[in-house]
Amino acid sequence: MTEVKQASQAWWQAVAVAALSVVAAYNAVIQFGYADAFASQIRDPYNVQEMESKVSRIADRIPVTERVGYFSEVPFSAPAGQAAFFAAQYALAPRIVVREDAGSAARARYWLAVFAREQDFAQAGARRGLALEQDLGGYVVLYRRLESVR
Amino acid sequence: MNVLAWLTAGVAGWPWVRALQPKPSAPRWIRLGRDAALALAFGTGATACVFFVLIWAGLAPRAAAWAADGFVLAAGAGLWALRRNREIAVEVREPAAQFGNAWLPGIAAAVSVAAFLAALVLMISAGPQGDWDAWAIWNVRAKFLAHEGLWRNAVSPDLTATHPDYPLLWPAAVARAWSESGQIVPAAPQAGAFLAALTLVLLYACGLAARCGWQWSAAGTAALLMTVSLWRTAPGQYADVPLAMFLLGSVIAAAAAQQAGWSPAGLALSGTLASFAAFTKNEGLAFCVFLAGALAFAARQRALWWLAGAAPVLALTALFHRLLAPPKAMLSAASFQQPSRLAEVLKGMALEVWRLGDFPAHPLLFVLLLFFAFRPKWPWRPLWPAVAALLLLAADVAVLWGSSSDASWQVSTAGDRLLLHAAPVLLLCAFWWLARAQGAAVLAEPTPKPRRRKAGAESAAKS
Repeated sequence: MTEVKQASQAWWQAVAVAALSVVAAYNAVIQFGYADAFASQIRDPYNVQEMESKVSRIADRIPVTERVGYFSEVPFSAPAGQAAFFAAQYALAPRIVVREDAGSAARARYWLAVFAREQDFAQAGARRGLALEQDLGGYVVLYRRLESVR
Repeated sequence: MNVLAWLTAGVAGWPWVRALQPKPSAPRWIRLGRDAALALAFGTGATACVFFVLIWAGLAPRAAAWAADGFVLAAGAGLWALRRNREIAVEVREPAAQFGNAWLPGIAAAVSVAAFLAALVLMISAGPQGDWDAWAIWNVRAKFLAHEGLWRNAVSPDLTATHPDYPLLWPAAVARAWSESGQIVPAAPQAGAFLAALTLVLLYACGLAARCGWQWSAAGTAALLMTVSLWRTAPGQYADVPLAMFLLGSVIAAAAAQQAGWSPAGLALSGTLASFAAFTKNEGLAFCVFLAGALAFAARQRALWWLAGAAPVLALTALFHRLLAPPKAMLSAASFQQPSRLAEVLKGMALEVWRLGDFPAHPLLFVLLLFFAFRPKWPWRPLWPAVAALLLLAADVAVLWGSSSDASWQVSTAGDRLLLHAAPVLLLCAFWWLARAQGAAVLAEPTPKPRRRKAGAESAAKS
């Protein structure tokens, strides 16, 4: 009886280990397929590289010790708004980027803005007391506070 | 140099591991693999912590990076030289259960590891900046640390949404690589992410092999790589995989110390690795507390050696939170008064447990199947690592419950990563218990001749 029980247990053990092995190997191939598909289809999903390449053109003009102001018509509560803000912070680091509703934003001489569509960027800046410094393309604009332009 | 910096950290960690780690009675390749993985984890953590201390003390990042490497290497070499002629505790290896067709999990593990590493390379190349938290939190703070005179920006209260209160080990590790290379390019965090994932898998595989033999190591590694969140998170350059690496390293070092009769040096190594986790993420600090408690119960007074190893970096972590990190209220009493939030968190975590695998390839499902087949008898030993890991998960649930943010959003964005912190430790324990199942044939591997044996080593092993 004990031998039968042991043989049954050994059979279950062999089945369990075989099932684990086959499923694990199959799953690894499937997961690799997902990774391959993702890697070939999705590049820079949050436009971080794009923001870096735009900002790299003007980064030398902004001292590294500056707080850079930021405003956007894409609300920060939306994932796209957060992505744009964090991408700007990543691209402009080691400068700290502050949103316009932050207290320390009042001291910012340079401002970065991200728009959702084409419009009069100069006028959007002027409403905040900012002068358009450079349109970086892709609705990303660099401004300078009017007092510091004079 | 962006890649080489991580390897030099591993080289600096090597003498520490060789000096403190008990000698396993496992084959040489297992010992080398485990020591290499522990050295990479130790070196990465130690150089990052010393680098951060030096820039806090006022050194320029480049000088701090090289000085950190030199200090860790010199101190490790000194320790190794001091302990070279002393008795070395030897791990006692217990017999492991044997199963037929052991080549099957061997092939599965080889295929899984190869596919995992290839996927990692593909995903890292496709997203050089990593996933959301990498460029929004970890790497942006590394940029602050890598610029001379601007490191305090990493803890500025102006970084409202960038978590300036998070500990700085991983940003410091990335900043150290950037400082040594002199270039801020994605190669450094990419290499760090790759090596952290590789070290995690190597630690796990060798931690199992050292105790239970290569068959169980292969089966366990195949099960670990069913964890979908590991595939998703590893290329993202998040601090979660390094955190899981430190947690697993501390458990493996402590278990090796236990095998060697609670070797004080091995416990100190475990404590240091756990303290690196505390300076990586707040979850690591919680695990440190739980592991200290579990070891105090299991190892009694010997746990003081663990505390001695953990003390320096725990002190650094405490100073960071006390002097640098801007205060942030993580928990709210009002949230704890809402039982519906707890229900929401538990429901969300249960869903994340389900999503841990891609059915039918689910690590938990296969652990249950193996338990049914092998029927390891209670008490399962060692139990203390599993207790620490389960307490960590309970603490995660409590924090999600008491958080002031939306509970369902928090669980859906962080739940998989919270499980990833504990999953390798829990899976490792499950396979350790399975390998000691009674009733199955027992695998008796020949014990290799010890490399160096001094009088007293045997008695230490017996104790």
